[in-house]
Amino acid sequence: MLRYTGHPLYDVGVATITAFAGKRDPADLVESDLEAIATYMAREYVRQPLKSFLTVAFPNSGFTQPAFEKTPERRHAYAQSVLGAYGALPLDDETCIFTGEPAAAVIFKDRDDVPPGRAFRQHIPLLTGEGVINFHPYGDAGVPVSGTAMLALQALPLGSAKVGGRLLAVHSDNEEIIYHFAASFLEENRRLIQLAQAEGSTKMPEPRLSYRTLLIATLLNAQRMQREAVASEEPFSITAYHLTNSGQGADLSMYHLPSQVVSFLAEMFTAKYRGKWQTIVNRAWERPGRGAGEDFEPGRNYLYEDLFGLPDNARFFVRTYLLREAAQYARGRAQDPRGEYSLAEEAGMVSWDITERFLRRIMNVDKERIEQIRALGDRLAEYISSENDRGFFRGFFTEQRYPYFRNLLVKANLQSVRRGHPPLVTLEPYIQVFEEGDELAQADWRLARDLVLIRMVERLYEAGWLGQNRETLTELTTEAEATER
Amino acid sequence: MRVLKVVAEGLTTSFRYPLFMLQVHPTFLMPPPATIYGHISSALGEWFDPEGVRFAYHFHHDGTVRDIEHVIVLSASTGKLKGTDYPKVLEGNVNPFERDMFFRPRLTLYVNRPEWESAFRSPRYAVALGRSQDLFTYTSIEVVELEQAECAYFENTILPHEMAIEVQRGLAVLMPRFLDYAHNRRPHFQQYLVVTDRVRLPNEEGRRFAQEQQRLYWVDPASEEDDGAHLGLAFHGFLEEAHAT
Repeated sequence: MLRYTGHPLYDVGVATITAFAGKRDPADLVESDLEAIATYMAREYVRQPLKSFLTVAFPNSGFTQPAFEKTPERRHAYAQSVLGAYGALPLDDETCIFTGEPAAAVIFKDRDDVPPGRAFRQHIPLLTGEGVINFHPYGDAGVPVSGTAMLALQALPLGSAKVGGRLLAVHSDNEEIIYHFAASFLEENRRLIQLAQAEGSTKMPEPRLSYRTLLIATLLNAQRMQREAVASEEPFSITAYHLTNSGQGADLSMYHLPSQVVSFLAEMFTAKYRGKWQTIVNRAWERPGRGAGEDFEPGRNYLYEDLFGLPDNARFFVRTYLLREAAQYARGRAQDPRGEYSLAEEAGMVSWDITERFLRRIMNVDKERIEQIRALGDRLAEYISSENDRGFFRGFFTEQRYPYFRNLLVKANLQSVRRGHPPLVTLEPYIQVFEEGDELAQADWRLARDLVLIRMVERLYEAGWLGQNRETLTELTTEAEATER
Repeated sequence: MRVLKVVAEGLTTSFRYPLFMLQVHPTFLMPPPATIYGHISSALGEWFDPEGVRFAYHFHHDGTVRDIEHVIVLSASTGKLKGTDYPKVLEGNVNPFERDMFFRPRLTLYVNRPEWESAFRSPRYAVALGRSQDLFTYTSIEVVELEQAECAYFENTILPHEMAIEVQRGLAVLMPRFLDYAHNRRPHFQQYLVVTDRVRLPNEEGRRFAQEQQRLYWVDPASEEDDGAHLGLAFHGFLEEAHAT
C-alpha cells in the first residue's frame, strides 16, 4: 500500500503513518491504518495548537486559511479532499511523481479551479503556488500526486520536529533510521499537542535541544546505532531538512551527515571506545549562563554541532575535542565549555584509539600514515620520559614555525644518537608524517603535529611523566595559546 | 573499453533539487544523470535513444557560493498588454531566490559512444551545464581506451548506491535519472552515492566476503596516479538497469 521511494518529505510521511499505526514496515499498512491517521489529522489540523503551527508547513491550505474560520464546512471539505484521496479513483494520464502510481482523480481544494490530482505549495512545502508555471514541464502548474502520496505528505509535520519555528524532517538511505526519526518525533509531537491542549495554549511547544543537537541525540538513540556489530552492517548517511513554507519567507537548510561520520559515531558506541567517548561528549554540553536557574538543562552539545562541519573542520575538531586544547574564540563565553578545555587538567581524556578511528573514518588517512604517526608518538614519548627532556616537549608543543619545528626534531635526533640510541626519526617516516615532496611542508603539518602529540600525551600520561610534570603542562598550554594569538 | 572523453569547463553552475522550487534553491553536489542526458542531447542536437548509452564522470569545482537571483514568477494572464491590442498571455513579478552555485566547475565526462566525437567538436546548441546561462567550454575532446584494474580511486563523482557497503563513505542522494520526453517529461529518480573525497578501492575498511572474487574497475590510465591506482569510473545508464563499474 505504501513504500519508501527515496523522496525525503514523502518518505518521512510514510514513516509517520507507519509509526502512527504502531507498525514497523509500511508494507504492513492496511486501509484502516490510513483511515485512522486521516481521522486524527482531520481532527487535530483544524484546531490548536496544530492549526497555527501548520502555517509553517501548509500556508493557505484549507487547514490554515483564515477565511475559513467562519465556514467550518469548507475546512471539512478541504480535509476530506486531501486526507481522503487515498481511496479515490485514479487519473488515466497523470502519474504520481513520488510513487509512479496514477495520480488521484481528486481536486485538492474546496473549489474546482485547479486540475484534478495536482498538488501545490499549500499541499507540499516549497512547491510553487497555484497557476505558477515556473519549473514545471510545458507550463503545467503543480505536480501530480496519488491519493496515498498526498496523505503521506500531509502527515509530514507530525513526523518532523518543530525547532526554531520550522520543521526538521530527517531522511536516510536506511529505512530503519527514517522510521526511527519519524516515530520519535511523532511520539514527542503527540505529547506536546496534548500538553498544549491541556494548558489551553495555541502554541506548539518546542524541544529543548537545538536542531543539530536534537538530530544527533535522536540518531544515537536508534537501535541501529547501538548495536555492537556495526562493522557488519551496511553504512548509511543522513540528510536533515530544516524548512519553513511560511508565506513570510520560505526557507530551507540542509544538513548532511555522510556515512563515514555516522559510522564513526556508531563505532564510538562500542565497548572499546564508549567510556572515553562519552566523557568527551559530556564535557561538550552547553553550560548555564548568567541568571540560569537551578532547573537549567542544556540545549546544545558543541561536539554534536561540530560534527556537521566535518571533515572541513577536522583540525579544529582534533585539537579541541581530542587534544583538549581550549578553543580561543570560546574564551569568555560562559555557556561554551570549549573555552575552558585544558590538556593539563584533562590529559586522561586523550585517546589515541579514538583518534585513530577518527583519522580512518572521517579523514580517510591511510593505515600506513596512521601507523607512522603512532610509532613516532611512541618514540618521542619514550625519549622525553627517559631523558626528561622538558625543553623538547615544550618546543614540540608550542612551535608554530615549520622550519624551527623541523630543527627541533633534528636536534633531538642528534641528541638521541649521541647518547648511543637509535635515531628518533628517520627520513621516510618523517616525510610521510610531515611533508609531501621535497622541502615542502604539508599544508596540515600542524595537524600532523597535533596527532603525534595525542599519542605522545597518552603515552606520557600512562608512564606517569605528565603527572610528575603537571606544572610544565599548565605553563605550556598557556604558552601555546599565547603563541597562537 | 573505448570511450569519448570530454572535458567541459565553466564559470558557474548549479543543479537545483527539482522539488524545492520556492525562494531557495540548494544544489546537488554533483550533476544528476538527467542533466548529463540533457547536456549530451544539446551537443547532438536531438534527444537521443538512451538505450545502451552509459556514462561516467568526474566533477570538480573551486567552491560554492550562495547567490541571489531574480526569478520572474509567471502565471497565465488574460486581457491586452497596456496601450496595445496585443493579447496578454503571461504576467509575473520579480522574486528574489537564493541559489547555491559552484564556482569554476569542471566536468570530465566519459561516454561509451566514441562516434559522437564530431558532435562534441561542433555542438549543435550553446554548451551549458545546469542553468541555460551557465555556459561551458569544451577544453578537451578525445577518444580514449579505458583499462581495467584491480584497484582504483574514486572521487568527486556519483556511484551506484549498492557500492555504499564497499566504499564506506559518502552521501546517499536521490537524483533525477531521466526525464521521459515522450510522456510530458515524466521524471524518473534513482538513489546514488555521492563521493567527494578520494576513496581507494578495494577499501581496507569495506566489507569482504569469503567467496567474493577480486573485482575489476574501469580506470582512466591518463589520470593522475596515486600509489599505483588511477581514477576509477563508475558507469551509469539513463534507463532503469543494473549499474556497471
